[in-house]
Amino acid sequence: MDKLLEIKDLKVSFFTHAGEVKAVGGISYDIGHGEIMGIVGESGSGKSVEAYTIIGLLQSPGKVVGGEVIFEGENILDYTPEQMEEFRGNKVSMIFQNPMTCLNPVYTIGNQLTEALLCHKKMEKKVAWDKAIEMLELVGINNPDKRMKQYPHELSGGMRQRVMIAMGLICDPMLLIADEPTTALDVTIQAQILELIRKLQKERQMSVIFITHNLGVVAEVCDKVSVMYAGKIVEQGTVDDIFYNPSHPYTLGLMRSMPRVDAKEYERLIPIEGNPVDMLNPPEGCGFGARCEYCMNICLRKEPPTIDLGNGHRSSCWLLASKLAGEANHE
Amino acid sequence: MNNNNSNNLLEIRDLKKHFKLKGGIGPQKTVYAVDGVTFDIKRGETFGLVGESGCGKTTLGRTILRLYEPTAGKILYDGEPIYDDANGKNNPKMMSYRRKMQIIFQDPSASLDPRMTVGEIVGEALDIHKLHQGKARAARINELLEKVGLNSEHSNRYPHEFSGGQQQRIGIARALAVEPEFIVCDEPISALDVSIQSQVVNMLEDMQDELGLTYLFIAHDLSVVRHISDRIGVMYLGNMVELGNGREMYDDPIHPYTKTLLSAVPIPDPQANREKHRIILQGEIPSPMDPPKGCKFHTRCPFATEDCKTRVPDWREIKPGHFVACHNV
Repeated sequence: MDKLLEIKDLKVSFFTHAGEVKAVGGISYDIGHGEIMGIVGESGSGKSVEAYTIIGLLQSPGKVVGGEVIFEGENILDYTPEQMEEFRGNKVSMIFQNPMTCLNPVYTIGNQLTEALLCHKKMEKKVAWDKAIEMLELVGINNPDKRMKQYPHELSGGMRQRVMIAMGLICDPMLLIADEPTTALDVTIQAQILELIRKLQKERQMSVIFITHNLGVVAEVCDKVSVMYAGKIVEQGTVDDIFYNPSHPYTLGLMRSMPRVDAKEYERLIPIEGNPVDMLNPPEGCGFGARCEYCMNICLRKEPPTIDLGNGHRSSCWLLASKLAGEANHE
Repeated sequence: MNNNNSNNLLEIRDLKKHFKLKGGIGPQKTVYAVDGVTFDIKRGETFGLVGESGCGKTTLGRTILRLYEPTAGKILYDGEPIYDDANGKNNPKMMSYRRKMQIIFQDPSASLDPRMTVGEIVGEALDIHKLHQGKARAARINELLEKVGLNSEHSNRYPHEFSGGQQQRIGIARALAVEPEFIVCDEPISALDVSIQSQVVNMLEDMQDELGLTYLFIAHDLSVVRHISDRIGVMYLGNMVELGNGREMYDDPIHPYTKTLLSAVPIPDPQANREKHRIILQGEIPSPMDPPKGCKFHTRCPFATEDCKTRVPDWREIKPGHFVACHNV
């Protein structure tokens, strides 16, 4: 599978009056054609910032301070605003978490859906209108003719999220970034939306970056997973690697702290102790060090190296480093 | 103190809460938020309440505490009516019941007054019920803060100085201040980060063991409800559709709505997900302003018959302790 998107050591900082916040502190990953990559992390772990950077929507005081975002061989961070506009919507598009705040309340659904076509594809109005109706049908909205003339407040939450998805897909992007697309929805609607995203992704061989904090959703839709903590990817690999063979204490902690609906017996949860990091005063060394039950001296002083565990499974932890070194010494 | 012989702490009988909407043109509209719910909460148990947003679970929780004045029905606390629409709605001793019943809200930052220090927030409950004065009051506040994993120095700080998880701990300390017996936990962990959620769940469990509390635990996260609850009630559009022992109901749901709800929950296990057969529910929850006739679920139910469209199903006990409202079981 060749690569569609490659992110190399991307660093994004916010320059606030209280100081520099390193929201994304050097992350690397790649996505192949037709792959779904899940990005898991808590609020403030930098998962949304990273997505906004890919699509060029990073706002001041945020700045890319290093790294590359290579899409089909070109570094999009070098694009001019005109090139970026061409790129955005046409090749990459985004679905946001809260459909109510992302749809414009004073324009009809039809107006907002066709806008992308009129502006990116320079279509005739009539053609664009028909194409928009086709898209609404595709995402499972009944009566698309009627819906086109309605305003966002006339639709329910699940329906609005479908409109958002239709809007994201209308220009046939190669990469769709979905930022917590189901977090605001009920489980029944979530199941509908997840099925829709999977179906569309298969049909169109589209790549998807799926940002969420729900491990269940990740297990359901993703091929690969990156787990983020404090602006870094602490572990990445295929879903099976991450769920059946987690190697980073944070990933392990997340799995153990979640109650499971399919649990056989009552088991007390094992929480991750402590509080999320304050990104204004990040700790030295490993970001997770202060909350880690296996924390060693070195963890609090030096950043852990990224260890390759084979088959694209990578983990950044001193535990693994010392284990590997130990094995090497034995040999 | 238990002057009725059962071990039910709360008995709720055909409780209704309708909201009349003001203004607008045309006939006045009514939201049937809670539309005739009957169940008991046993002493010392955790009763979980689940359902989609808009099903009335939060309204039910608040109506039981009489934070919303009920429209009709009956609420008995420890055998004593605290609301009874048949004879004299008001119980003059309501204030003393308020001390026994407390609530923890969903959004900790919105439920703590930003201009009050933590000490004042927790102390306010003590003052209202005239529980501790002077030195004893300060000591009690410190004791409460320590109980929820904060420390006494925190009592002079303001809510914004705390993280979400810590704010929720303050909310819990406030609820515990008046030594309640019964606490409504209204989505207490939904606003928290994943890694913090389990800390709060464990703390709630510890408090229950230590203080013998009874919880009504409202949440839309079915995994958490299963984890924490002894018995679970499933609500749909203002009615309870199924009630039973938590484990039994999750393993063998009877009502079609419970089945679809449970099958929609994603499991953090890729293999199990690939094999799982999912019932995807069509459509969305109808408006509680204009609920469907007959069984309210018939518009989305894959097994709906003609009967379901016209006749409201009875609330029946089909196994000991397992209640279902469905014609087809």
